[in-house]
Amino acid sequence: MKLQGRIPVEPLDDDRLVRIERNIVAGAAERAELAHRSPRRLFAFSAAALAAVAAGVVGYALHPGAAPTTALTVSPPAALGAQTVAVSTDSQHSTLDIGDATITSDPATHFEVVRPDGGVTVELALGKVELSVKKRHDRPRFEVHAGDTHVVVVGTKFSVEYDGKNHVDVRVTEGIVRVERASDVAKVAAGNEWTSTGGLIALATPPTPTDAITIDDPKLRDHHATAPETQHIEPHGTGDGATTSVAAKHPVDPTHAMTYGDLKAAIRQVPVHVVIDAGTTDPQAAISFYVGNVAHSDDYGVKRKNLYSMAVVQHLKLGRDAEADHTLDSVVERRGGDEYAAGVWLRLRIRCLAAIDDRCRQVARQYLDDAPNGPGASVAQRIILE
Amino acid sequence: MTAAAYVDDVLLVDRCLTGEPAATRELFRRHRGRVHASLYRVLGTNRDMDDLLQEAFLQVFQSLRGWRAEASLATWIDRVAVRAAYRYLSQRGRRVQTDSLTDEDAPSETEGPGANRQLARDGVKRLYAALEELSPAARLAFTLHEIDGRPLSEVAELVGSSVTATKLRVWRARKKIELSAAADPVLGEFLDPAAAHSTQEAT
Repeated sequence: MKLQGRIPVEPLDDDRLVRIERNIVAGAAERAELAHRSPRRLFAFSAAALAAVAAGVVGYALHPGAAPTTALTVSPPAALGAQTVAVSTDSQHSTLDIGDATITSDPATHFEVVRPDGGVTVELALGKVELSVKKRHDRPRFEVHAGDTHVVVVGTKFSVEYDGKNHVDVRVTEGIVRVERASDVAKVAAGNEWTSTGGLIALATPPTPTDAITIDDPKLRDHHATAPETQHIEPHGTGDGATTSVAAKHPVDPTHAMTYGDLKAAIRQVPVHVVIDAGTTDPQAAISFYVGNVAHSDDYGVKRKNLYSMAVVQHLKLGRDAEADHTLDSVVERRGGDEYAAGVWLRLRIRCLAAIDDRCRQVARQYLDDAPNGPGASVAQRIILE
Repeated sequence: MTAAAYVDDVLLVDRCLTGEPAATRELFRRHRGRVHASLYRVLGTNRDMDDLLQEAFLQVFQSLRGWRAEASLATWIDRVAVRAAYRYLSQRGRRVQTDSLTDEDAPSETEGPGANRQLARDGVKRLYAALEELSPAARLAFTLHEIDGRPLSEVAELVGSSVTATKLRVWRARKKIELSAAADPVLGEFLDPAAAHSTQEAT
């Protein structure tokens, strides 16, 4: 009885395959989402109204002299749709926790939070809100609308103040936001303020410098790029914004343009995070060692350390940058841990040493978002400004 | 399996675990051909293949976190697919409807290549009719080993049995098929064309 190879397999036609694939992709996502969606997270937004009410109560308790009238009103989700919360304060602050952000409002502030298609939009009608937004990564946009000004958030701490007419003030204390107004776009980094009338200016009291390592390279300091955004960030052309550094944490002399060679040198000077000692100087043997560790560990942290180490060897020892970049997919897929920021930096190093292009800038932005105080922060900022 | 291929699997699985649709699609496309071929050889038809293939891969994605990277990803996926096939064979309330392999409108031929093809189609059809009489475990073991061409050790791993038990199942299944073939000349000729020819020449 010899049957192997004698039963012809009738192929599935393309329509069926496409249908199956579509169902699988949808089903897999659904199951993954179910697995990741914790009841607490679901509850977070639904309970936002309750949180705001609680904040109002706290605010009232802390301000016994405040008007005894209902100073804070919250429109519960049922009134505005399951994904909408409206907050209105008269004489006290409020704090609204929507899970992926905390919104604190000043007295006499009116705003509404809606969630269109997984994103978040804060419609600020009047007053001032301070926001602490968790990293958005690939999630839909988080925006604050104040009149005709849109502030797009990547993951940061900032405030938006709106007089209800035409003056908007955006102050950033951590990270970067993008301000869009009519055809103007401005990136506002930590330590800076953007106003609808004055454009971008450095805050009088910028955040305390952190332990970020500034590259000790006079050329870099001398050749800091002139911010191309200056034309955007000063929509009315009022001042000396052309000499205002977006990177206030790393003030530099903006009088000289930085060359790509300088930038490459700067990238190379940022130390690469330490790798696991594979006990060999042979790159291939080291890779085998890391692969073995990945195979025999159930711990994602261990796997990531080894994959990161492998990417370093692929990039620095073998010059196989495409492979290294591919290996880093897994390292930077999940946030957290030393290897995450190190992995993002390594990817920046790989891409930006090849070319300062969109792929390079994209990872530079990611690095700044995720490691604003990392050793390569100042270089990443300069790359974005290139 | 090369280290590069292994790492590629690890990276792809990690991407799938984040729920990235492109990764899900890529994993499905990489493995669908092999899984479909194996399932087809088990069932002998594409009639319920959409559901079965879909269920098999959904099980893969549901269990992906459980892939410990000890076996190759392909072997692990095959194991999940075989389990899905086993459930399918065990739970169905009806027999697998083997697609009609005869072309009713085609002119019948008694000699030449056309006749041989017709005979082969009839033989396949009768083989799968005979396989209907086997238990799901025996059918899986027999089809994966005899038709899909997998070694007994691999079949044992896929069906989660010992090699000895798998070997016994295959042997018993073969005996049953041979018994059916003794009563069915078409199946008999399909299974052993040389013996059938020598019998015809002798008469």
